[in-house]
Amino acid sequence: MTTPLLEIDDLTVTYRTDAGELTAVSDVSFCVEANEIFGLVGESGSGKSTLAKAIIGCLDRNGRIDSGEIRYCGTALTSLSEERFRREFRWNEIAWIPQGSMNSLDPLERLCDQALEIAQTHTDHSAATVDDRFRRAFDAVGLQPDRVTEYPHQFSGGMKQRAMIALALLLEPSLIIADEPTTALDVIMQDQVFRYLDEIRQRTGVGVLLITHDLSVVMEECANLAVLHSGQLAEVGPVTAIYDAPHHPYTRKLLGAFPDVRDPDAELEVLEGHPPKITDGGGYCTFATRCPIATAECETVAPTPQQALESPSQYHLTTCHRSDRLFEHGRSVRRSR
Amino acid sequence: MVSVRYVGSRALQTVFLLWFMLTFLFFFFRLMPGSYLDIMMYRGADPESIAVFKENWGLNDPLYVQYGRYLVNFLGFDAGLSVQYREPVWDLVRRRMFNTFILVAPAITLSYVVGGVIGGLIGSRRDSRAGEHGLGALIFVGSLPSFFVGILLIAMFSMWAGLFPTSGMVSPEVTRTYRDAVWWRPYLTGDFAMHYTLPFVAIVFRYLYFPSLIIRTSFIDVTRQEFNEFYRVAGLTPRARLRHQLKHASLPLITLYPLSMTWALGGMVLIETVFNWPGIGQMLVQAVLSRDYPVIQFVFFIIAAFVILSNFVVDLVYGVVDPRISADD
Repeated sequence: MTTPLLEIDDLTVTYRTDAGELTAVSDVSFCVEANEIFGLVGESGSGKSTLAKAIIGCLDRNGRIDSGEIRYCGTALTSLSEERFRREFRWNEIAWIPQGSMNSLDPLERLCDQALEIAQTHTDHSAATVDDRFRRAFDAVGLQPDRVTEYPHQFSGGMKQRAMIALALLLEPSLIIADEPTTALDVIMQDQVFRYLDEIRQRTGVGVLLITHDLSVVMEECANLAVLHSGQLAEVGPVTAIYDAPHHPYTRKLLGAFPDVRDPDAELEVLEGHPPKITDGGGYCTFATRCPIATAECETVAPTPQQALESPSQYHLTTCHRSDRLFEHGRSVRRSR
Repeated sequence: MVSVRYVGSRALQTVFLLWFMLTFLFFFFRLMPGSYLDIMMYRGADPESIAVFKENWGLNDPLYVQYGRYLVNFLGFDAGLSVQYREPVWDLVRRRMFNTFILVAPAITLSYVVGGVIGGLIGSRRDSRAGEHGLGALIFVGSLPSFFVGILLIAMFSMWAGLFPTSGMVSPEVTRTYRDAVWWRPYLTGDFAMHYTLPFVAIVFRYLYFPSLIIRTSFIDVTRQEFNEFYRVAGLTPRARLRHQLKHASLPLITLYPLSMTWALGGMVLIETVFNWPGIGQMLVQAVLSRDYPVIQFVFFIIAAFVILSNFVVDLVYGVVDPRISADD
C-alpha cells in the first residue's frame, strides 16, 4: 500500500483558555490521498479550522498539539523544527485557501509582489519565472494574466478568491487546504471556484482537503468525507457509502436536514442544542447530549472508530457505540420513503 | 494610480486655501478688539503722534485698500514692517524661525523614529507584563508638562552634574568671536552643541509618547488583520511578516508627522522659555502681547501654509504607499 498524502493519526489539539483546557480536536484520524478532494464537515465550533491550522503548524499561540501525529507523505510534520516546517512545507508543499480569503490578501502590495515574496521565501526561482508561473496560474483560475500587477482592492470578491487560489497553485503544492473557500460567494461563483479546483486536481493530481459546514457541497465535490462533531470524528468514509447508509446519528441528522423537493412538507430533522465545549479532557461521546439513542455508556466511555457494518466500502468508520442498532433503524427509515 | 487630474485638482485647492488663509488672517486680526494704537494710547502717546502714525502706516485708507496693498506686497515677498521694532518682518523672524526649526524639527523627527520603535515593541507584546508597563510608562511621560521636563533636565544635568549649560543658544564669547563671520558660523561650534543638547533631549523625551501610542494602537489593529495569517501560513519569515506589519502600522504617521512638524515652525513656547532659546515661539508671544499684527499674521500664515502644503504632499504620498486611497478619488 502506498503512503497516503496526508495522514492524521489520533490527533488531539487543546487550547489554553481562561475557562481551562479546551479540547478542540480529540483523537481524530483520517487520510487524504493524492488526486482527491476530501471533505471535512462540521458545524461551526466543531474544530475544523483548528484541525486545518494544526496541519499547517499555525495554531494560535494558546493552542497546542497534545498527542497524535500528522504525517505528510510519510514525514511527521508534528516533529519537524519550526524553521524547517516553515521553509520547506508551508505553501511549498501544503498551500491554504483561507476562510474568507477575500480579506486575506495584503491590501498594500501588488498581487505579483506578494507572489514573488512567497516564491522567493521557498525557492530560488528568478523573478521572471515566478511572474510567468503566476500569470499561468491566473489564467488557470479564469483571471486575465495581465491583472497580476493590480492590487487586491481592484478585484471583486470572487476574483480575490480566485487570485488566492492562483497564489495557492503558484509553487505547485501537493496538498491544498481549502477552509470554507466559498462561504462568502454566491452559488454561481461557488460552482466556478469548485470547477477550477477540480480542473486543477485533474491536471496536477493535487490533493484537496475541503473544509466546510455545507454537506451538499461535499456531496457534490468529494469522494470521501469526514464528519466532525465537537472535536470528535463521527464518521469517515466514501461519500456514497455515507449517503446511502449513515452509521452515526449525527450524520443521519445532517442528511435528514435536507428538504426533499418531491415532498416539501416532510418534517426536516432538527438538531437541538449546540455542540458542547470539552473542557474536562473528554472521555465520553460529545454527541451524547444531543443524541436520540444515547445510553449511559455514551456519557461515560469515549467511542472508538470501528468499521461500519454492512457498508459497501472497506473504509467506512463510525465512532458510535450504538451504530449497529442505528444502522438497522436508519435503513428502515430510508426504505419507507 | 496618482492621476494628473487628481494632482491638478488638489494643487488648485491648495492655492485657494493659501489665499483664503492670508485673507482670513488679515481681516481676523483687524476684527479683534485692541490694536497697536490702543497700546500707544495706553502708553500715553498724544493724539497728534497717533494721527501721524495712522497717516504713515496707511491706516486711514479703507480696509479693502489696505488689504489690496498687503496682498500685492506679499506676492512681492514683502510681509511689511513690524510695528514695534519698525523692521521688515522677514528680517525679524527669519533667524528666530531658523533657531526653532533646527532645534524642533530634528527632535520631533527623532521622537517619531524612537516612538515608532517603542510603539511597535509594546504593541507586539501587548499581552505581556512588558507591554503593560511600557504603556503605563508612556502615559506617565506624556502627562508630564514640558516645562517640568525641561526644569528637571536642567536641575539634573546642568546644576547637579554640571555637564551642560543651563540656558541660551550660544555663549556670549562665541557670539563675540564670530561677530564678523557669516551668520551661521556660531551654529557650527561645540558650544552651540552643548546648549543644543538639553532642549533637544527634553523635546524628544516629552513628545515620544504621541507617535508611540499611535503606532502601538495601529500595530495592534494591524496584527488582527487577516493578511497576517495568510503570510504566516505562506511561510514568510517572522522578520518579513514584521516588516509588512510595520508598513501597515506606520500609515497613520504619514498624516501625523507633518502636523507635529508645525511645532518646528510655530515654536514651543514653554521649552523655548525654560531653556531661553531664541526661537520664534517666544517672539510670537511677545508680538501677540504688543498687537504686532504684521509679525503675527506672517508667522501664523507660515504655519498654516506649512499645514496646507504638507497635507497636499501627504495626499500624494499616501496615494503611493496605500493604493486604496487615490483609487477612490
